[in-house]
Amino acid sequence: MKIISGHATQIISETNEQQPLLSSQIRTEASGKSELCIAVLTNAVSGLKTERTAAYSALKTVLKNYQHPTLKTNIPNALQRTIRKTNQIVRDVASKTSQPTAIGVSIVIIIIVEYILHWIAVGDNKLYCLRDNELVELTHEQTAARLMRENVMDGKLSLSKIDTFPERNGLVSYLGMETIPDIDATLKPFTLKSGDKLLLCSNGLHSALNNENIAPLLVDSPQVAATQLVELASQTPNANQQEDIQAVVLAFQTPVQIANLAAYQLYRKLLIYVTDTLRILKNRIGGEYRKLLIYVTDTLRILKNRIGGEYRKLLIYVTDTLRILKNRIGGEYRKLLIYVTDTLRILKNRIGGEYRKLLIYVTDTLRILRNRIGGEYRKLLIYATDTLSILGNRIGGKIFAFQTKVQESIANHDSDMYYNLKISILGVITGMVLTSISLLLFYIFRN
Amino acid sequence: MPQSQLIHYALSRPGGREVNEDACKYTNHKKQFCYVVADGLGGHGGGDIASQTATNATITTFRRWPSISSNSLKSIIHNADTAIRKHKETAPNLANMHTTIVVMLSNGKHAAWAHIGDSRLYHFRAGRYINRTRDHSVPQVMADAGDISERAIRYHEDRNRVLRSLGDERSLAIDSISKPCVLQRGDAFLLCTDGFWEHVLELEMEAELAKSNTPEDWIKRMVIDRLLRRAPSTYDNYTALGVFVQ
Repeated sequence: MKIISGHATQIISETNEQQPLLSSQIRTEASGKSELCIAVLTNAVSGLKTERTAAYSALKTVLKNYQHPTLKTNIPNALQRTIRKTNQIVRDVASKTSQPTAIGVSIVIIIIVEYILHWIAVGDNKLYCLRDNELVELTHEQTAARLMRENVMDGKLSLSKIDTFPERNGLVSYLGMETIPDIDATLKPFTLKSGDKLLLCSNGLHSALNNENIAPLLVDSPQVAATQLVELASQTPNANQQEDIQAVVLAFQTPVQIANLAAYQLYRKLLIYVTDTLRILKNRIGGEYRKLLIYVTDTLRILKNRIGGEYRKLLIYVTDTLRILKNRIGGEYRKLLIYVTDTLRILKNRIGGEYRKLLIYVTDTLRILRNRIGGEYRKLLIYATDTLSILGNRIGGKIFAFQTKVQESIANHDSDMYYNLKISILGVITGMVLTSISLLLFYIFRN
Repeated sequence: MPQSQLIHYALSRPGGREVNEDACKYTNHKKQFCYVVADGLGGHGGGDIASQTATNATITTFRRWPSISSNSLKSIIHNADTAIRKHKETAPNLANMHTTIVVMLSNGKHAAWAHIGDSRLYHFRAGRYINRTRDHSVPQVMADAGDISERAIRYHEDRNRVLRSLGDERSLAIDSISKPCVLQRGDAFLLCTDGFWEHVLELEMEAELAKSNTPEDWIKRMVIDRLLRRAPSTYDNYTALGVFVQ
């Protein structure tokens, strides 16, 4: 599995500081097919200069003692030993200052071997995992509020008391203490999935942003994500000006995913094509049809920016949109939407199923519909049906040759008055069908 | 596979409510284990009585017939349902009481489970969430039909519309019974009521599992670091029973 990383930092620099001290490190090593990775983040709890020095020493200690794990390595034990050593280093630095007990350092270390993740954390850094667009904190808070929640669980305290306790966010565990009361660590492996993203960050970042702000930014590539997170955090009004803002982002891809880059790019091009077509169309057609197009266009535009997500989720999104639509538009058009929606729902449940059968279904449906609806709408349906049956016979055929054939068949129908309209509408249907094909191809290749 | 050891831990709390109408019980009869969790509903203390009756009936039935099979599960569910109906006959003010149930049986080599309602069993293997029971509820039906996503079940406005329960007026359809599955060392199970699972995500269950060597640790971490961080002050009764296969 390939690991891609990015990191960004905004350090509060003091006037006589020459150079910001390094606060995070990521090291990866490719060993055969798998990658090994260690990432470390350290920072000062209160932002004092001496704490920063201690944090830097802690970072150096971790890296100096690090050896890439072998099959025999007990990673949790190795991480516990590292924390003990690092704690001692921090205490040594602290003992040379005038206020040794005021020194506190937060640390989070992660080690990844193939799909297995281990972590260890002390202090107020956080480790998040984004999986399937759901953001979860892997680490727990080491605060007074947590101690209070223990009491709530034991029935000694009511939950509402916590929110009103002024020191609830006070840190109760950090490097520099004589005995560290709480170490957040894996004892057993945590398995990553391809597509997961990890975020290591300092208190300066996660206290300024909540999960709703963080999750969308993690969709981008790790370096972009890390930079944007730090930027956004530094701009929020409640950002703590005394704290460093640090982010380390990691992304995981299986080799198969990378091979699908070509399919992914084609998919993107198709979406751009369909969106542009629909935009042209919406400026030419009025009434309820216009509203439909605006909704579909917006949907596809949002979708364009979200490519990388799962096929199924895409369909849920489009289906939900169409469902909202069908409740807003009445008449015969409504029936079309119902059929399209049903089709998409079936498609959703048949991912991996037979493409041809689906096309036959859609074709039959539209043929039934065209016998029930008159006027211009009927012509639209005739074209859509013809298009789809040609397609049905040509699965795997060349896309652009098919387009030409369809345009030829248009030239054989009806008068010029509707020519532009027909071309445009056909373009829409073609575009949507092409989108479906490439989505399915994309999915098939992904497997 | 040689017989594994089963260790478990259960926790049940009233949350932000006056009374805890959840119930959970466990029994071990000649190395055959039975775990059961129930979430009772109904006024006049009926919910409490319903869940206690169902879990007691489960234990009694299992001790009489400690077999790890679909048939013994069917008879457990049936007897629990009957016990509640009988109790209703004796007390007219308990006419509305009913309860969910989720029960797991195991001998260390195999495990089988059954449920009625929206109390759940989750199965984890090698630290990963692999399976759970499907709720008998309106949002679950919608998610199975593809109308909403799985994730939306937790937050759905119709989440309390449970389609089946023990002691209900309609006669009980007992078809959500698993076939016995072969256990592996490192397997973990979580039986819980909706007051628990509504506030804990599956990925969070995995994360806490990675940090825990015992079911007690696992359950407590999920409560302290997940449930109690999310729950509003009016939060529901919650019950969680964790089983590790070692």
